[in-house]
Amino acid sequence: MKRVLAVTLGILTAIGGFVDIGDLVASSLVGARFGFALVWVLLLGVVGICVYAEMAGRVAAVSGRPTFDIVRERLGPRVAFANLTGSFLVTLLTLAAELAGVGLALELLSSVSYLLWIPAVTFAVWVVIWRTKFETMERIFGLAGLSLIVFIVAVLHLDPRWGDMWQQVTHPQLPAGEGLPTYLYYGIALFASAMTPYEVFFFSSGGIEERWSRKDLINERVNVFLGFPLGGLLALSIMTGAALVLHPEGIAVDHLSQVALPVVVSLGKVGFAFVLLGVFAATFGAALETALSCGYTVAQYFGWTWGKTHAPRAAARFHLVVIVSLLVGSMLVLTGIDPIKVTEYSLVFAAVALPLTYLPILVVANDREYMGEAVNGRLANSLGVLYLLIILVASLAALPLMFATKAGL
Amino acid sequence: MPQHPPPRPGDERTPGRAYSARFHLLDRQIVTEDGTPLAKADDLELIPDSDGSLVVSAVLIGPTALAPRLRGRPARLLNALARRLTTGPTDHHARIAMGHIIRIGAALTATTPPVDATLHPLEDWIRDNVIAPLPGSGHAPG
Repeated sequence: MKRVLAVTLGILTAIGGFVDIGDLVASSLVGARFGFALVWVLLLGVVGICVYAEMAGRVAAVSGRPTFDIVRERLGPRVAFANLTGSFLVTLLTLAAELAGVGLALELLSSVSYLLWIPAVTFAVWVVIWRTKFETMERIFGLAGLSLIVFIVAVLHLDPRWGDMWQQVTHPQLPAGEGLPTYLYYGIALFASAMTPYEVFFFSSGGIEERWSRKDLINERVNVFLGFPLGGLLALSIMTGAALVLHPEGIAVDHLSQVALPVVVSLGKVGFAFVLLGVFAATFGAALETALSCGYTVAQYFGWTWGKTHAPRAAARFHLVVIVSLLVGSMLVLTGIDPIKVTEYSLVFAAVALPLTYLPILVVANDREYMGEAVNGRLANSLGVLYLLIILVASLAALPLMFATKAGL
Repeated sequence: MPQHPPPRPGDERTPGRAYSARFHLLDRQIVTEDGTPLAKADDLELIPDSDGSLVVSAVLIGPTALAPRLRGRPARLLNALARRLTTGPTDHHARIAMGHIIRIGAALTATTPPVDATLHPLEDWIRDNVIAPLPGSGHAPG
């Protein structure tokens, strides 16, 4: 039983990190607009996050050092400071989007505008961080987030023609009226939604909060190789539902309610109830992760005491950063800025910032002084270098494509 | 209660072993003996030896020690911020003498230093004025 529960860190990271507002929006938007033509990018992203998180988790377990600690050690204070600024702002933007996501789920339930929910949601997120045990937090939101499995049920219930679908997945074609730059732009957003940096900050810091050591490597790998593919499967089913229901009708996703539409068409009210619970749990869980990650990155760069396992008064600066991030994030949402747009931009900027966080982990995972016998094997290194190239290309192409396509218009 | 993994065995400093100041010391995390993060090695204090070669005498910590290493605009920003936020004298860097560093590994381990009021003035101020007054601040959520 303990083993089973130990896997919940991976599930929470996967549900909260993989299926967060970014994935709900990106998967559904891409499915509605491009059908099955970008499924291959999602698969590429799932393998990528497995490679990246496995290395970062292994480094955390063996050397006891979390990701941003390593980033500063390897890149030096100057480049790491630029990386800190970028990663922190992206995570803050994501936090704002997650808070809006929780508010939107509550709006769908209560018909009370999401803006009115934001202060209460922000306070609730803070109370959970302030008072709740790390493991309890993971279990409640990870397991409630599993109700997103309703998307898989919905796709099965729609009973699509699997042969046709397979044909479209393996022979991706641009839908009529879409340009190649737009296709690539959304491809990068989708890739980034799978490989969001805060997932790895949270995963490696969470491993240290749970006091992983070399003995826990098996546990760490089960977490990665079960949790992230599960998250990927959920994202795939969200995309499939959108491609089956929204794409033929030409419905564009510009509100969270359209994300739920395929399930409503397939399963009716009961399905909708599960979607609401799942979206609430996933975005709330991701709001916890992003708020904590804001604190983790800053505290680890400057070397402060950090973590939920300390009483807040023993990690005062860390908790202050978390509180200020929550306040700024909620104020950003309260300006009335479009949450879907915030999500899209946070994904593109995440793609730009990713290489500077990925490279140090790849380097340290090969360093025997840190890792002893647990250095990267041949497979981990081949995949690690391959993904370094992919991440670099995505990072360099993200902004030019954004300007060229006017952010995907 | 140890909150973080304790330092690994095998990282004890051995006489005669050569360490690179840039690689093994600068920007490494410093932890206490029970593994709690203490600070980053933001800069090093070098003093000339009797035969004229430079020896690392202490690890300097705090944003004012870090700022000059950033150069350019980030340096000015961080320095200005640190000077405005500090509660102690500004020309003073907190330091940990090398004699207190007992292990050099993935992190540097320092013998638990005497409670030094100048080590973390900002942490102390934030704790006393912002965090501690909030209800439940003394309770570790776990």
